[in-house]
Amino acid sequence: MSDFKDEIIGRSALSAPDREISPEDMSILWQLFEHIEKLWFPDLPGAAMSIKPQWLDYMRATVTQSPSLLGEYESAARVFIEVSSSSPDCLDELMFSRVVHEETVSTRLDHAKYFVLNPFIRVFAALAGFKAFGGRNFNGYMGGSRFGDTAPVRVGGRV
Amino acid sequence: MTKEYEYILVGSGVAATMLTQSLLETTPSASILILEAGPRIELRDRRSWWDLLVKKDETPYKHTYDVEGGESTFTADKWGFYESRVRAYGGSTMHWGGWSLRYLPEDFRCFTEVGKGADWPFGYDELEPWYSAAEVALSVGGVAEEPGPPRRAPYPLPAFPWTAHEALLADAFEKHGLVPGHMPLARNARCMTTGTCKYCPIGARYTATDHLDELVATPAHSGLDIRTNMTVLNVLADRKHAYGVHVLDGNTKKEETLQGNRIVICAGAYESPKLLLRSISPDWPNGLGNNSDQVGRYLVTHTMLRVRGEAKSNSEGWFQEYDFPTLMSRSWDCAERARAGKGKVFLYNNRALPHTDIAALFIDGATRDKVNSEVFGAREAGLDAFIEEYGEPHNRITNGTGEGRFGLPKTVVEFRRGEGVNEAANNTLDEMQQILVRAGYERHSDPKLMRQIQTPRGDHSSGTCRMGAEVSTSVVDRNLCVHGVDNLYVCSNAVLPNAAAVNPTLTLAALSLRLGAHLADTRP
Repeated sequence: MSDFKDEIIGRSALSAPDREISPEDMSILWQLFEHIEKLWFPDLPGAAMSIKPQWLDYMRATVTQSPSLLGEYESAARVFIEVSSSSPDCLDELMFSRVVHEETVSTRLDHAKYFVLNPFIRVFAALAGFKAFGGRNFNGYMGGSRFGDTAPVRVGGRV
Repeated sequence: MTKEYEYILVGSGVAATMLTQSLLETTPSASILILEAGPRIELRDRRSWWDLLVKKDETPYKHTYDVEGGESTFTADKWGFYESRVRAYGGSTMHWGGWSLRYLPEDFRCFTEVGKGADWPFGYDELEPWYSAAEVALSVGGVAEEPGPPRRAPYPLPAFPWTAHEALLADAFEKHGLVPGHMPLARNARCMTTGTCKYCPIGARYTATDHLDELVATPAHSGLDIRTNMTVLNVLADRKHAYGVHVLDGNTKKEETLQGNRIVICAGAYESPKLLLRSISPDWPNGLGNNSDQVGRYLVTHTMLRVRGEAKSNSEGWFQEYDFPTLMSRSWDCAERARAGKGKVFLYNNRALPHTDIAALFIDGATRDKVNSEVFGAREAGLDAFIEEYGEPHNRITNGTGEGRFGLPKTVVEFRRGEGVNEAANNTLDEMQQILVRAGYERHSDPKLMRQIQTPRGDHSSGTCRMGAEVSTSVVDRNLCVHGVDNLYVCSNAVLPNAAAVNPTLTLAALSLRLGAHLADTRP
């Protein structure tokens, strides 16, 4: 019997069923999001948790507004369960470091990377990850007002 | 019986909005109908904002852009249409950068100073109070003490500080003999420098959409009516008087006639002349206001100049932390330089550099060590500039055959870059490269990126319904009234007699407020 993750389902995003996302799937997806911190940003402990409200906002927007990604989320959660149980040592390689672009999307594993994890990586990098490189602000991050005591960006000797 | 409006405004961008504000300040219950060919697009929609963040450059108004080669074509030099205007409620303020610069006094005397283009029928001093009012309406932040056009009022808000990298470039400007300054930007006090200015999640960057919504929501403004998906097919006029517009209602697909006492075309540098040209009648066989064959001519835009340099190391880990440049200089924005054939130039920092797309590297499987080496490795910097071009009668906008989006006729641009512009541009590029060298950058290894004279584009296009005193060389008079038609006005970039070297929006906003005062003063 072939693996769920290897099922070829084409390039288009999966259609969304008419139901709410389950708490179990949300929990799995949160694990995936948190794993970005463990894998690439060990120097930012707690970063994922610090932006959980924004991640929840992202999830809400992408399942309640059209086109919904619920079908992709449910599929990715099953892929994660399968990979975690069958090849837990290959999780990073199979799901996170895998390179999938629009033109190469084919299997459910591809879909999980392209439609779920790639956006998660962008959300993480914009809202927290950039700080690991010394930045104070980044496109997508609320850097702050020009009226505060601290400038919203890194400044030099003259402002 | 058909309702007769006091004012019918064609278009809903910054010009229509400022004009409406001005009219309602004088007469809150004024009967004003605004007709917008495009749709309404919601602002601050969470899904749209997240889509912009995770799918780069995915904006909810993308579908309103011109389709190159399909609905918009050029017949001479290559001309860029895509992403140059938004056809929606709020117009191009949906996507603008908010750069809000005044013209210089000498820009109002362009022909006198440079021998090219045209003089305005009035001077800078007459527009100066309206510039101040426009800066308040747009919530512009800047530094009043920096060199620039004279001003009687401070900026309503402070400027954004330079980034550390911009401070480095500012030093290089000075070493090259330029005075660095802060870009005046239309961002209100709520701005949190989120860096997604194309679709601000909190409404901090000025949009006409928000401004019009506020005006409509004011109970006293009982006569204000805004209709979207309404394409004006032609203006109805007899020999000296316009009396209405013929429209296609995109919602019902039905045509109807709407009557107005005063009609103001606020439809940008493309659609304003196109509408006049297709408003043909026995009294106006060549198009309304076009007996002198001036409508649509003198099209100008800004040619963008771009240089990039490279440094071997980015030990500071710098990347651009705003979504706008805060460093600029107007030292080259002077008539003396134009007279010397070097071009009148507005110089600013490339808003996107230095930059490393950290997320893209991880998405493509990079390790953290690899990303570190990219961020702290070689660094790119860039400078951009606009160079002024001057209106020539052969550069022209006309209606094409067939229909484009929103029921609007297709657009045809005929444009040939002016004599001497390429030479001036190349000399300027040389100097821009020298500035980067002074900042520690070597010439970029990719010759295509090292220096570029970009294709002329529609973004800052203007001049196509030129303002002037003479019927033989202009389309509207000093009060933006179409020559020969006593109640028809054009209020858009189309009326600007010259492009200057800076973004035109603030000047258009000031002109719109001035027109509002004039119309209120002369209300029948």
